Amino acid sequence: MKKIEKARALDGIRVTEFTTSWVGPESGLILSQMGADIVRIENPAMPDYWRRVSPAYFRGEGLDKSGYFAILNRGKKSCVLDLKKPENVEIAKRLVKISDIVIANFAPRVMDNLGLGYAALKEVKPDIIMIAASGYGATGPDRAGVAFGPALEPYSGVSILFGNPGGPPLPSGVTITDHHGALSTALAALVALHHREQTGEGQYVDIAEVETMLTIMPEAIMSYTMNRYVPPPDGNHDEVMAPHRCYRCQGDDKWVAIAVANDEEFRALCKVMGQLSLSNDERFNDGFRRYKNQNELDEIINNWTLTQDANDVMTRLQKAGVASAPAYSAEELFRNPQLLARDFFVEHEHPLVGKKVLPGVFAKFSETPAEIRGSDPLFGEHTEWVVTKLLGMTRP
Amino acid sequence: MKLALKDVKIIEFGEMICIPYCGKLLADLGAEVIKIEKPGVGDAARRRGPFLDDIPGPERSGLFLYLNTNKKSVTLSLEKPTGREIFHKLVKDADVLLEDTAPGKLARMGLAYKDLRKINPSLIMSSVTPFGQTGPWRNYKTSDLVNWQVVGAGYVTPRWAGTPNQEPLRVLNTASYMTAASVAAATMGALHHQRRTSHGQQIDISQMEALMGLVAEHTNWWPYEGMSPTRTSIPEGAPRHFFKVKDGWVFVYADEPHHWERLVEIMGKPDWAQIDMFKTGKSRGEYWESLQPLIAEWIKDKTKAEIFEAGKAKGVPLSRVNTMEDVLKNPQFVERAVFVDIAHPVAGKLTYPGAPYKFAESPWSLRSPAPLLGQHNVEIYGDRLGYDKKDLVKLYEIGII
Repeated sequence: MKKIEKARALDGIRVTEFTTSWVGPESGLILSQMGADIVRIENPAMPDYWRRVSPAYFRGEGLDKSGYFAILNRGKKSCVLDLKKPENVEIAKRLVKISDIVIANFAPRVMDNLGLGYAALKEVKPDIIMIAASGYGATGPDRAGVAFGPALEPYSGVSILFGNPGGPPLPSGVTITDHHGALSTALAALVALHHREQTGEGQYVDIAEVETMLTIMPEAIMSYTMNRYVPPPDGNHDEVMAPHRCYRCQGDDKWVAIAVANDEEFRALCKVMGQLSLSNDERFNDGFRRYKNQNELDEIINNWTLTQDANDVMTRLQKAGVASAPAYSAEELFRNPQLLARDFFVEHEHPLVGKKVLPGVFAKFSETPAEIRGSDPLFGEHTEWVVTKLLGMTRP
Repeated sequence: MKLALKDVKIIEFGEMICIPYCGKLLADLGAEVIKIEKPGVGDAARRRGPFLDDIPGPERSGLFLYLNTNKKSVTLSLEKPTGREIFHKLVKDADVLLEDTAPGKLARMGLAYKDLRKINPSLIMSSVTPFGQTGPWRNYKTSDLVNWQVVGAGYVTPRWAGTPNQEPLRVLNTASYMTAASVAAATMGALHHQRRTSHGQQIDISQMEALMGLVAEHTNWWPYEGMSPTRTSIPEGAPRHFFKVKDGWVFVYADEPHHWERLVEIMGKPDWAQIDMFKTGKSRGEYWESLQPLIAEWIKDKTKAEIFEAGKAKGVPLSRVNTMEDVLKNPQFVERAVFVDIAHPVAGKLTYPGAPYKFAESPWSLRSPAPLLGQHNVEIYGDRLGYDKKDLVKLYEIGII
């Protein structure tokens, strides 16, 4: 038994990733933070997508200096295997034999075609847990659809639900389908692990990214299934809270979000704005009136914020009990006083890019602290180690 | 039916979306989730739309009905000593307490983790707050809009906005749902440890920190390139754009060389596609103003289905922009039984979004609809904790349950 003070929640759990791009790697990162040991199988003919789209790669600096790759693959081991060769498939199977969980996020048929489908892996390791994440899922008429995060948003229906009133559908700016797909994949792995611990039984889990989106937009889906309509997009406005928007502040592209939930908060906002009389203005003196007249109110607030510093607005409003925050850029996040005070960021030493400070763990555990376990692996850095040391084989 | 989490007991003490969605994720996989609601009024989500037939009522909110399937509802006020005593009894037998109270609030009532672990050393207490239990912002408030902005997701949403006058937007309430999935994963990790060691622990989850994974594509730019992407950055490649078609909209994503070549084939190899300035993804981005009308002209008389099927056949990520009607009728979703019907005693039989995963051995399932407010008071307080009927009446009259 390991010493309790050093225990991590998933100590002793081994995960093999047959992954590329985002969903599989981010799910592996989450499991790794909780203590799982991860080996990523990488394809020599087609290295990870994010290794190849980095600014460093485009500058001709190779596969190992990608910030995208780093942020998703820290603390993992990289094993490069050409799985078109049967002897390498054998190595992969040997790795699966000592693994608890396999995460795959290629198109559904790829693992089968390689001879590494669930049935094949189950023969090698009867209680293996295989989580297969794909864009559209392993079955159905669209299973072969090419899955790229931004193209999955419109398919899931989310693109017409947010955006500017009367405007066209918009792309979100973030990897929303991929991030939520990754969380669903990690959660599925942990639930399947719990089931295995109780019953001794492994299993296959099929995850479709587009379906994971449907579970996080129930307001629209239930509105449609109950009442056969969906409210049109209305920018940042809320169904109840008003004011509720981003307002422009002093400086280049600076904005502050303000969300007012009730009369007390509105009064606090008016006081901070130095316009206490607004709280008694008959256009705004209760939630219903603020909701109905919020465009007028938005303009008044915007005229005030235009002359203010976004961080200053946030601090004054939060101290007065109103939810608010600036729209932060990446750079500002790295200087964020709250994240710094909680020691959120972690520094890694990478053999080629040197010291880098990157975002840290997703949750703080009191007994089994989560941890980012080192920098991202070089392409194939651990191939030799995996084959000879971990598996005790000789390279073919 | 095999339920993966049938041996897991959870107390849910939280409102609206985040904690309830976390409770739902685990309840739908078999955990027993006892949801504590405020006597008389219940979870605030009961007062949030959409409402069935647009007629409000605490048992008619689509949001609440969705978020609370497979749970048991008890009412309880922690304001009085007897309420806190009942809370102790509930927590004593639980594996997990999910809660979203402001930092220090439970401590002031003698219900901090250090107090609760005395009665249950195996307890996992998953505590979600806007910015965490510590730090200068620990008492600050948030909302989905604020969450989305504070992690930098709004600064880049919508992508390729073109003008800095475009207000940073949020995408629905997805920040709350995604945080909930993180909480569920963290809780399952702690549960794995608990089952091995019988040690509980507290998990301090800051919504801000949990959401940093959502923006990793952008945050890495600062340490690696010394710059911050914005929503006005021009596309690194094109096309990655929405187009109007005969029956709605489609999304054309073909900036990579092999995708563009195949799209050109789909378009019937027009002469303009050979022009130098459209040769690379980057140059197509630079000359987008010239290229956009050419694709728009070709695509305008096509249908969503034609474009999507062409992309599927040729291996290009061409997507259809599905409306809610499309989503509900989508053959892919129908074949995979993505939507599930369940009957509720007040709201009747309705269609709900199903699961984010398909487990082969221990399937996700809807076994019971969202509970009525306090529906399980007698079962939990009476049958399980041993209060007799007259006590329950008294507790109700005094406002404790």
